[in-house]
Formats: sequence, structure tokens, C-alpha cells
Amino acid sequence: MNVWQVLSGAGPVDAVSRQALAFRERFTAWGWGGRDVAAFIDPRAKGFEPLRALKPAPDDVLLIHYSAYAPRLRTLLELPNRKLLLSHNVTPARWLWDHDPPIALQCELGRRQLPEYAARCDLAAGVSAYNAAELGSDVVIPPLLDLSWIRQKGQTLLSHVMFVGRLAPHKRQDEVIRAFALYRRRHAPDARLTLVGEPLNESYLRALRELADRAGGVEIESSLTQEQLAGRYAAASVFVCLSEHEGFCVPLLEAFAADVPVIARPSGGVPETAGDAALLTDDRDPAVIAELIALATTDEELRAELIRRGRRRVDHYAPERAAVKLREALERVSSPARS
Amino acid sequence: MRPEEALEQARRRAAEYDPPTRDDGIEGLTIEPTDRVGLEQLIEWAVAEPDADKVRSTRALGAPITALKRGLVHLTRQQTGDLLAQQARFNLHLLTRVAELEERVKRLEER
Repeated sequence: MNVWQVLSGAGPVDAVSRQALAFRERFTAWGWGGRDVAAFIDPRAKGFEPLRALKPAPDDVLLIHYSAYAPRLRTLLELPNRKLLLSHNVTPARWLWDHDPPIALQCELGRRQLPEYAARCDLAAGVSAYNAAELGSDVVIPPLLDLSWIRQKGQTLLSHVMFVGRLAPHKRQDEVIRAFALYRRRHAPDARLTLVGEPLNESYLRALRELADRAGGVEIESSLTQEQLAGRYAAASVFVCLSEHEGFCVPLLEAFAADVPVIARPSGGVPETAGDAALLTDDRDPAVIAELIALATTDEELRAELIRRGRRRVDHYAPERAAVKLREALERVSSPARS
Repeated sequence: MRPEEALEQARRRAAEYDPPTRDDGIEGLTIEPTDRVGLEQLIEWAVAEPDADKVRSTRALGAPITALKRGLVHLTRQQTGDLLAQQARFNLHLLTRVAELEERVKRLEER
């Protein structure tokens, strides 16, 4: 089988591009052909060709990774090829209008366009049941994650809080900072908070840095290598995710793989990804989050149980299991009689 | 402690915070989702004000490209200014009509 992967945008560190590359490795291992194209390619991204390189034979399958508004991909829908749409979810614009109107517009249009794309493909799937349900589908192709680069910790600094995710309003790093500041004041004056992610834009990064400076003990880092990120996970004692919207949230699994207890807001696909392995809370009071951080860093029984459950979640999302789902979905699409 | 017990424990401990501690929040960045946008906010958005500082290159060693892009923005400001003014004129007149219609609907509903 030949599978052409189509992305609206390919970047050097984003989850969708990494997924597409991991899928390609699998396709090659299965003896499948095809190539990977994107409507927009960041100069730092490797492994992708421009959209004009897309020249599928009639029996080739198109795998459309949907994560943003993509008017240039509309012409693909006219192609006679069988198509699988995989939704990685699009952030609701309501979180972005005040901070980056062009991106907000892209998100708004992207969410409006998604149902039409899904309806015009032979099969629609999501990276989580939450994403799939948005499309009226129950086909889930979880991320194909290689977490072997993550080191389980040696000696841990017992008050090192961490979050990994785009530095953007809906990820609520502002709430993480405020909860951390309370925790630091009440429990651990030497505590550190590390926020890792690519900024939405310069002005948002500036505002976040100002907030972080007022809290103290906060470090904001971007464009880390995988090795550097592994080092941050290894040093962390607790991972706090207060994001308001997540389609899947890969960093949760990275934290589990690094034996870092997780505190998370149960938004979007988070409860599904975290299972019973995280301390889930939708409390808006930063004092509650601060106390959960204190418990997760000091209560040994609690830490041990969360780490044990976290390892189980990593096993649940083992790449071999995800690969089976990927293959099943693609074979179902390629064989009209079965879809 | 079991994970299932942690949240209640955290809530109990948080409830013991004295008000000064709880209220001693950090000023700065606040985030509110934009759901129902008011007319005043729409009027503010109706007139686009591009920020030249946002014109930049993401390439490594992109400083010359950034300078070139900003130079082009400067050289074409007459045309872009005219376009923006035309769009703002349309946006503001449309919003005025919307405001008038809202007012009329309100008056009709009050009858």
C-alpha cells in the first residue's frame, strides 16, 4: 500500500509533525510506500515536501492530519483517492482572540471546516475518543509514541514543578505560576517551576515572563532538544497541567514515563489519557492546586502509587498497540468493501 | 495516602489558608476566554492597527530577512494604509448599523 500523509503545516517540534514522521517509519517497516507533504513547511522541519509534490496513483491512500485551518487542502477532497482524516484537534478560538487574532481566526475557521472535511473523507478518526467524538466517529488512532528518550529519574529535587506545552492562553501557564507561587510561599521557599514550550507570540511570552518574575523561582524555556527535555523531566518532582483544552496531551505520558506524578485539569482528552494515574481536579482555587503539589511532592505512599499507575498508562499507550490501530484504520480505508 | 483521597485533603488544607495569604495573588497577565463580544470591543477590533514589530523571520540568521520585510512594509505603507482605512470604514459603518438594529429590536421587545 502507498500512503501519502498530508499536513496543513510541518514544523520542527510540533506533535503533529512528529506523529507523521513516526507513522512514516512504521509504513516503511511494513513495506508500504508514499511520501509526506505539507501546505506550509517551517524551514527547520525535515522530512516533508511541498504540497505540489503530491501525485498519488489511483489506489494510493491519503492520510490527512487535521490540526489547523487548511484552505489549500480543499482541492485534495476532489481527488478520487480513498482518504482517512485524523483529527489532532483544533484549539477553540475563544482562548486566542485577545492574544493573537490571526491565530484565533485560523482556529475558528479550522473548527468550522473540520466537519466538512470529515464528511468528505472515507473515514474520520481522532487521536483520542474525545477528538473522534467531535466528528461523530468512534475510530481512535492514538499517538505512536517512542518514549525511550525519557530517562527515569535518579536523584530528584523534591520541589521542582514542571509543565510542558505551548506557551499559550488556553494552556493556563498563568494559573500554574500563581498556584506555584502559593505553594512556594507556604511550603517550599526554594521550589522551582520550569515551563517548557514554544511561545504563541512575543507579546504573550513577555506578559508570561513578567508574571513569572513576580512569582520568583520560575524558568521559561523554549526550543529544547529532546535530550534537554529529558533532563528537565528527570529533574522534576511533579507535573502540573491546568490546560483548558487538550485533544490528547502527550506530555502527560512523557511525565508518566519519567516517573513524575501528575496533577491535571480534566479538560478535553485529559481524563482519557491520564486514566486513574493523575490527580485530576477542576478546582479554580490556586490554593487547592498548591496543596496538591505539596501532597504529591511529600507523601511517599501517594507518589509511589501515582508512579505505579503512570507506568501502567505508558504501557497502555505502547507504540505497538497504537500501530495496530493505525494499520487497521488504513487497511479499512484502502479496502472499500470493508469500510 | 491513596490518590483518590488527595483532592479532599488538599481542599481541606486550602480552606485553612488565612485570607491575607489567599488574597496575596500576583498581579499581571490575566486570561479570560472571549465568548460574547460586546459592541465596544467590536469597535476596538474594527480598526486594525498592524504592529511592525511582529514582522519577522523565523529562519536561523533571519535578521536581514526581518529588516527586508520591515523595509517593504514601510515602503508600501501608503497602499496598505489606504486598504486598512477602507476596511475600517466598512467595519465601523456595519457596526453602527448593528447597534441601531439592536436598539430597534430592544425597543420592539419592550412594547
